Amino acid sequence: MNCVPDEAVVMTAIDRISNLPLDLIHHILSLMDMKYAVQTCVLSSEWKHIWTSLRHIKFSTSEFEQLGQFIRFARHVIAHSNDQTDVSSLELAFGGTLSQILVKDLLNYVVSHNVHDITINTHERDRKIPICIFESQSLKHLTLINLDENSCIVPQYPWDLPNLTTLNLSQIVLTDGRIDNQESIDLFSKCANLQNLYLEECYMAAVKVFNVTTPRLENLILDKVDLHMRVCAPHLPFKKEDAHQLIELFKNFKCAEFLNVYSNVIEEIENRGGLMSSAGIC
Amino acid sequence: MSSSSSSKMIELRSSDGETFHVEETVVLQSETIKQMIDDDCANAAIPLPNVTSMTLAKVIEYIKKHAEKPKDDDDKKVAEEDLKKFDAEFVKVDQESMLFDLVRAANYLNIKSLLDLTCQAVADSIKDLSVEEVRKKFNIQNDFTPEEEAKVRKENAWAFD
Repeated sequence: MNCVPDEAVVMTAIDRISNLPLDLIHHILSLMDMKYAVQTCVLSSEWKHIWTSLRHIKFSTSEFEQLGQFIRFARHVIAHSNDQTDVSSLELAFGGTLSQILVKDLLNYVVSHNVHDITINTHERDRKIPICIFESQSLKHLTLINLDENSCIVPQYPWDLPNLTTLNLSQIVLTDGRIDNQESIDLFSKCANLQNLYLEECYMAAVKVFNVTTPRLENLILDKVDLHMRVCAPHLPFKKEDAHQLIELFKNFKCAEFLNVYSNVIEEIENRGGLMSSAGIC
Repeated sequence: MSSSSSSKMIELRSSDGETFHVEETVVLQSETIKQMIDDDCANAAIPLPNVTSMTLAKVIEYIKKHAEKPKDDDDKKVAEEDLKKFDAEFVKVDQESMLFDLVRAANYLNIKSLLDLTCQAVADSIKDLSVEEVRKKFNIQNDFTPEEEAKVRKENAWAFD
């Protein structure tokens, strides 16, 4: 081993992965769960701190046998991540009763590091999603998916997300726990840049009318949504091929103001019965 | 000649001087080359000084497959399945070095789907192997003393649960 290796041996011994540009190494580590990204710290001294500067963070409780192990690991990641590095995206998947404080600390960390994308998958009943993510100035994409039959809970007052473009909610109860009845609510009135809104199996406690006033909305998809909706979205364009989708939408609308509907779509819909009047299109 | 071959052909030259002729519609999957064509720099052969002929041939195989358009919806499902199989086989390269050459080429040529596919293949092998196996597979020189390695492992113990 001490003799000078010949060229062929040197060629085969090139460390190709450590020689990649750092952003490509980061990209590779971002494609795996954080648990495995952190494990690379023991590969060599060069790898010791690479994981601390990842901009895309993926956490899942399913990678751990016990919830306690996950909690200690997540705390370790927050405590040792490079404070100077912005976090671009967070993917969090959890089951079991994860402490609310940990979820809050995790989300506070990414929000204070200018996160753009948050995806949360939960299997828990009645989980309250911490309010810090509904006040993020940097957030562009938010996905909340509840895989349990019991929905999780998000605040029932206007969300302050000025840069949000895409919102995807699945099996969510829109409530803040208060039981006093309200006539109407507009959760997205402060989301001036919202372009894509997908609501699946969402419902709302103690509110009669769900207003959606979104000046830039371009895509609206509703699936099994039990809400009386009043939509004001002048940039939502419907073409003839969207007629079916539009009819599905109308079933959820109480009233639509300023929907941008092409005349041939209206014809198509009128052929299918008086949906326009029952939906109260202005 | 079928109608599909009426598309304009673009000439690419690898670092070792080999030339490849590829349809413009296929080659546009590379943002880097697209930019060159948009800037009108593609009248002669496009030199790709960072990509060898062996790697470029693989890249072209990939973008050609990904440029195929299904005819109808039924065809689309079959085509999607077919493409998944193709991708899975594509990253099963004989030599580990080829995978990294593809990562670099995809990055240089800015073909996002190929970059994600090849990086995911590297990520999967890191995830599935032990530390020792990863070092061996990628020729990573362990410069830690046993004591240092034990210390780093202890500091990050929660990741090894």
